Amino acid sequence: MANYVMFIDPDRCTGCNACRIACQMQWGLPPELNFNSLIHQETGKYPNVKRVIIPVQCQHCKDAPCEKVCPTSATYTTEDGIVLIDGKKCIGCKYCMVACPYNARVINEQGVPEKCRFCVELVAVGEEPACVSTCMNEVRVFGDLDDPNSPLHELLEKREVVRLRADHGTDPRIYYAKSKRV
Amino acid sequence: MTKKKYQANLWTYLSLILIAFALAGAGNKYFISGEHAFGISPEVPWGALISGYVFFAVAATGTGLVGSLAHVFRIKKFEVLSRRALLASILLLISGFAVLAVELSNPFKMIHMLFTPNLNSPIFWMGAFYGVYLILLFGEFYFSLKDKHSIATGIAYVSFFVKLAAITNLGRVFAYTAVRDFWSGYYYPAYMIVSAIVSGAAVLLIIVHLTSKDKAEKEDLGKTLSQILAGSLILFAIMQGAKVGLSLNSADGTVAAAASALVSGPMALPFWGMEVIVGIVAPVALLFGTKFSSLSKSFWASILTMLGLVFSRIDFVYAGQVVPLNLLDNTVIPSFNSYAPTWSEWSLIIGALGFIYLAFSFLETKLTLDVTKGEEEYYRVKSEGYSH
Amino acid sequence: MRPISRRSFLKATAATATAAAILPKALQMDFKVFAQEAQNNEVEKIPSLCNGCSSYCGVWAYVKNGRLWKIEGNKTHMKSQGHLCARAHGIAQNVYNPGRVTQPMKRVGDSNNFEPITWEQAFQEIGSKMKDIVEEHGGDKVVWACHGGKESYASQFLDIIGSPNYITHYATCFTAKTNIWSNMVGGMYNPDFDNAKMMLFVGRNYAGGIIPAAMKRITEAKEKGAKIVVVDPRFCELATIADEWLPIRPGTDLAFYLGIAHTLISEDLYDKDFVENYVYGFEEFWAHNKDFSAEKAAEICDIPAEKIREIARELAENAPQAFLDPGYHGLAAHYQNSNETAALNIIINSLLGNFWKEGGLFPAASTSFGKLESGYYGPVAQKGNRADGAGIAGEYPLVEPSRGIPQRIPDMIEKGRARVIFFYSYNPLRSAPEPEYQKKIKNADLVVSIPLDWNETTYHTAHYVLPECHYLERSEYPKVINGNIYWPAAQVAARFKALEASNSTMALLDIMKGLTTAYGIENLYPYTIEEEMEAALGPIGLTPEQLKEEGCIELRPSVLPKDEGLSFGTFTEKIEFSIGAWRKEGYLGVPTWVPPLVEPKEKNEFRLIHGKQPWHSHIMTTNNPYLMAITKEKNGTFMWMNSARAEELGIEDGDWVTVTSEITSKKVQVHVTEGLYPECVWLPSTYGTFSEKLEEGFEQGVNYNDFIPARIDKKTGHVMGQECIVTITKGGK
Ligand SMILES: Nc1nc2c(c(=O)[nH]1)N[C@H]1C(S)=C(S)[C@@H](COP(=O)(O)OP(=O)(O)OC[C@H]3O[C@@H](n4cnc5c(=O)[nH]c(N)nc54)[C@H](O)[C@@H]3O)O[C@H]1N2
Ligand SMILES: Nc1nc2c(c(=O)[nH]1)N[C@H]1C(S)=C(S)[C@@H](COP(=O)(O)OP(=O)(O)OC[C@H]3O[C@@H](n4cnc5c(=O)[nH]c(N)nc54)[C@H](O)[C@@H]3O)O[C@H]1N2
Ligand code: SF4
Ligand code: SF4
Ligand code: SF4
Ligand code: SF4
Ligand code: SF4
Ligand SMILES: [Mo]
Repeated sequence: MANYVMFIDPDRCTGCNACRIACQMQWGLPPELNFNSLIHQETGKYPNVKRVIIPVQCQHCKDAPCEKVCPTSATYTTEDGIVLIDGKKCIGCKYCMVACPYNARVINEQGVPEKCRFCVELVAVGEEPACVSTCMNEVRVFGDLDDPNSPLHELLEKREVVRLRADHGTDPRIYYAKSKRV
Repeated sequence: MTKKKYQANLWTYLSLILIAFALAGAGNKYFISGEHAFGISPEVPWGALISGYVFFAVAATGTGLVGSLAHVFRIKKFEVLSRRALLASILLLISGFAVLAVELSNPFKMIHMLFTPNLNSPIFWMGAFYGVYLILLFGEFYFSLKDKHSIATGIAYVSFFVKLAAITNLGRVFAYTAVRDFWSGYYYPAYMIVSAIVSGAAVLLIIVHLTSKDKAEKEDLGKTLSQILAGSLILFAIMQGAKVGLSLNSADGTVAAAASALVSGPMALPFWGMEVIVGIVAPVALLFGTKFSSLSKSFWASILTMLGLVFSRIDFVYAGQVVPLNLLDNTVIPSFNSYAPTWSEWSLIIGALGFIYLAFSFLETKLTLDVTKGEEEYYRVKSEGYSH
Repeated sequence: MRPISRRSFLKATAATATAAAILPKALQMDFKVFAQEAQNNEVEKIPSLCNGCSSYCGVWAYVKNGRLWKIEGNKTHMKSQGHLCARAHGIAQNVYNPGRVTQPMKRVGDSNNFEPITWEQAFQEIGSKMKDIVEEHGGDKVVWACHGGKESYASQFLDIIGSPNYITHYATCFTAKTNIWSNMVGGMYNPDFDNAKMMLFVGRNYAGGIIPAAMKRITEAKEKGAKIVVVDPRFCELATIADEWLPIRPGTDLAFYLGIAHTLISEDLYDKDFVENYVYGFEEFWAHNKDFSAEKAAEICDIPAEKIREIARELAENAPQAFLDPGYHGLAAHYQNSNETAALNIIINSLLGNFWKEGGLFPAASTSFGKLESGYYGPVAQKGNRADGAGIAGEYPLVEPSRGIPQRIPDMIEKGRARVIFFYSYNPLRSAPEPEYQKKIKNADLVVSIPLDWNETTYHTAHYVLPECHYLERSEYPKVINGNIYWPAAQVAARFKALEASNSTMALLDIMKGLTTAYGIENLYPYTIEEEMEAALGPIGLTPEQLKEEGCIELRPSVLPKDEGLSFGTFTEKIEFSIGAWRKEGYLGVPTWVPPLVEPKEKNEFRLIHGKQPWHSHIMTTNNPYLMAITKEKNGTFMWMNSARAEELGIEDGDWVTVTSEITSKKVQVHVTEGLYPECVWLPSTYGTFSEKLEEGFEQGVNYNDFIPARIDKKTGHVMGQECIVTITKGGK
């Protein structure tokens, strides 16, 4: 069993959108469906402007509201902590979308609410998720927290980390470096 | 017990047109636009079809609840209505399911609710209870038609609790979503029950007005139902007023924002115009204005009530999703998610109404919905037994 | 912590050994289904080079059942180091773009109608028409206009027919920079991000005008403590991660630079040894500029004098591990003073003494390939004069003839200097100024376009269209990967055919064979691409098979830091602060302050500036549905306007405005922002597609080229793309 998590440092992101489209290619998504969004936060008055771009995707909540509400158990968590959807069981009620605090899901043409799947097939063969490998600013680090050699440990120690909407109690698997710019 | 020939009239053709419209709407989803047939988006995943489902399911439950005044509560004057109430309930629930089936991308996969049910999920329970409810409705209706009244009454008792459970879980479906603050809490389960009574009374009033031939019966039943309708509408209005008022002043900014979307935002027009004026103020005025004694005015009050309720359902479903989720912190994002029902969505709701009218009027001629003497006797005896 | 149990991991690996390599269907979101499919399907990984921009990043194309699945970056490639920008993914998918030209076409009638013809017919008709024209008017009436750097076959043909008219897009991109660097330093030098302690980026937005590996290295250097200062009228993408953003009045960077140089010199902060040993013309420069203090600069460029001095001092403190980035497009084709600005860039870096120093600037490592001989032994015509006047006394003597002046092709046609125009992978109707003027190209005797898609030049001017196949559908002569960013070793990479062409398109070599043969030149290219590849790689000891295996091969490091014995490729072998060629033409040799050509004055007047958007390439990506989906989501076509100015004009975010310049008037929506210098408006440079056959991009947004007349800078021939004042009024749509 692995304990997969992602570390994202928003202070490195310049909003190139490569993650979005690399993911779309990886998963054969049509142009208007994507698993990654970039939230732009611009603050300050000219000429003292600051911008932080926060990449958001499914947070692979350990206590996932989407999984709790799913009537057919189509949404489930793998033993490695990845939240997936079994399309065969999904009735398309979209309850998971309503319940997800992160707007992480999009409906595909077959009516199944899809979302980031932590590139489970790539990860299983030791490769990096598509959004991670394409990112020129190396905003994202993916790894197994149970692996003592993972660079994640150092990163999580070095930077103050936050998780999105911790107040919802979802216990997400994506750790964000706290921005030094806000 | 004479079976009549079904006579097509203007309403028949209108109903057929509405049904054709609905088929076109469904066809648009299945063959042309896919999910884009509906106005939903990742931000507002539930739209008018969920509202439509709620509308029909709650009306079915309410019709059942008010109708059960005969079988469960043994109130005699309702007995003449019992079969029609059951039939209306069945048709309403089937309509609800049909609308939901088009909304659900893969309704047939519902079978997995049996194999791998998720007992945490309110949809599971809601679905389970409504499924059982439908079966019970059929049973009660069947035995009632066969004059097997003790069986029918037995079923009615069970059914009473099942429908209460169903509608409470329908409320929970919304209340359970922790991130949609406007829905969360105990309000919506209670809202469902009260609005069920509103719609039940309205549906039965419509039926009485359209089907009853006995003038005295009409007057008597009409008056009671009108009183029930007026009373429940007032309760409903008070509840809604309290909900919206408290929400507007809520410390939770997203709740206040959702309420402001209702009263002064993107939903203001349907909220004030349809939900409040058409759906509450006008029918209450009509009902009180006639002192509940004009069945035809009560009929129109009922029509207005139902119309208002359609918008009430749309408003409440949209209101829970209108405030953009702030993914980063708990401050309120000062904008609203937009949603507008598409023609496909409207077509299904309107088409379902056509279906109900058509099916009802057809079955009216093919089944014996008037309660037979023997049945009346049964009630009389029982009622007397309770020293009425 | 308990060591990781490998069991579940191995189990998964066994089941999905090739799962990573299958084309997913959106519906099949089931792990097991994937594993199953994986066993039945083979995925091929073929190396190629992205065609999204001049970085030619190395990619691996994943192909399944003959269809492209996805691409990934090649980790060796110095421009990308495994990372790809959004455009790369989009452009790869262009292989399935409905805007592609799928077979040869011939224009019929007047209203942009085309009929399909065979390749044979196309070659014959073009060949014989061209032959007639050349015989009657001379070979120098033939122009080959291309993006440049993307092919190597045309010049052999031009040489035989006697045409010197090989024209590239450079004057619309960066000639003010390359021309001046070549004059003053003898060639381009590139920054070493890894070891820099301070980096100054002026009009250079690596996060928008992307080179992926540059951004990787910049963010890494920042992590290690390097300071990043961005000078840009706009809070650009690079400013997001910078330590400081200094908004500058557009067109006045020269003043800012003069202020920095003045501070360095007057405060004795510059590298005297370096200047002593390796600079020619320092005194002359100082003599003409010693009054241009930071205060004077501040008045012009609107950056406080104290800030200018502070930046100069910080640079000096960190020198030689400090540089002023040489720039790319951002300033190098924009203003009347762009040439002087480029010269000052060199002067500042020289004063910092950072040439050949860690954290400073280095030339590109290079290598050379073998080339196969042509099999043509027939007559060769005498070369005529350049149609654009580049390098010609009395016309544009300082413009390098190897690059030319692409924006004046209609003029050459009108004057009878050009009669046959070829466009290869080039779209001046959209990438050069003044589209209505450029449309006159259609009046030439013969216009042939070799595009990928129905770009504007093709649609509005071509008489014949000879579509090239998509880059993933062809193998190509290898490329040396170098330049723009410092890397000690040169690299070799090539495109290998990853997909069969699904339509009737051809690779350039085959098109050239057909054209020249039909013209009557036999055997000009007597080889296949495979033979050519082998010949190219032989001298450096590589084989095509090796290259196909690795995708990109790095040669031995050849450019490493050195302290002594520097020699520059100029006449004096020093960096020349005074340009000989300028003096020869009667100009002052050293740069001094030159104001921009035009200035905004009224309340509703603005300078129109532009720049790259991270997810679009120039103009060639507006028909890509994936990239345009991002545009839609991000309101990417909007024109930026400073919030205070917008308020004055009563304009709110999302409002439509009418933008009017001396040549046109267009409507666009506005993005109101705090991140823009008040005197200008900023347009993303990609939009305004006006070829009806590019449906996705058609009439989305507007383009800066709509607004500027087709002018020629007199020294280096660039387009002066930001010497443009527009008036803006609310409303219009
Ligand atoms: N409007 C506008 N103008 C600009 C710029 C801008 O950003 N916007 N940028 C300036 C700069 S910096 C530059 S470098 C230039 C670039 O100017 P251009 O080279 O003209 O523009 P591109 O967009 O690179 O591509 C031109 C054409 O190449 C064709 N093409 C693409 N792939 C292939 C292929 O594989 N084979 C063939 N034969 N053709 C292909 C496409 O049909 C495309 O229309 O533009 C300059 N001018
Ligand atoms: N995404 C993307 N990346 C690309 C390309 C692409 O088309 N798209 N093309 C490639 C090519 S061919 C090129 S040439 C490069 C171009 O790369 P850059 O030269 O970095 O790109 P630009 O966006 O043209 O200009 C950079 C910045 O100059 C700013 N600027 C405008 N006017 C002024 C001024 O007067 N003073 C100052 N100080 N700044 C000013 C703009 O706001 C912009 O942010 O990008 C390469 N990479
Ligand atoms: S690829 Fe990296 S830098 Fe680009 S938008 Fe995504 S996270 Fe940000
Ligand atoms: S982010 Fe949303 S979709 Fe992902 S696991 Fe959490 S609740 Fe589910
Ligand atoms: S849409 Fe599918 S995955 Fe989502 S809750 Fe419903 S059944 Fe579960
Ligand atoms: S981890 Fe994979 S699925 Fe998730 S966003 Fe990144 S590329 Fe997409
Ligand atoms: S920078 Fe982007 S578009 Fe340009 S070659 Fe590299 S990957 Fe392709
Ligand atoms: Mo360029």
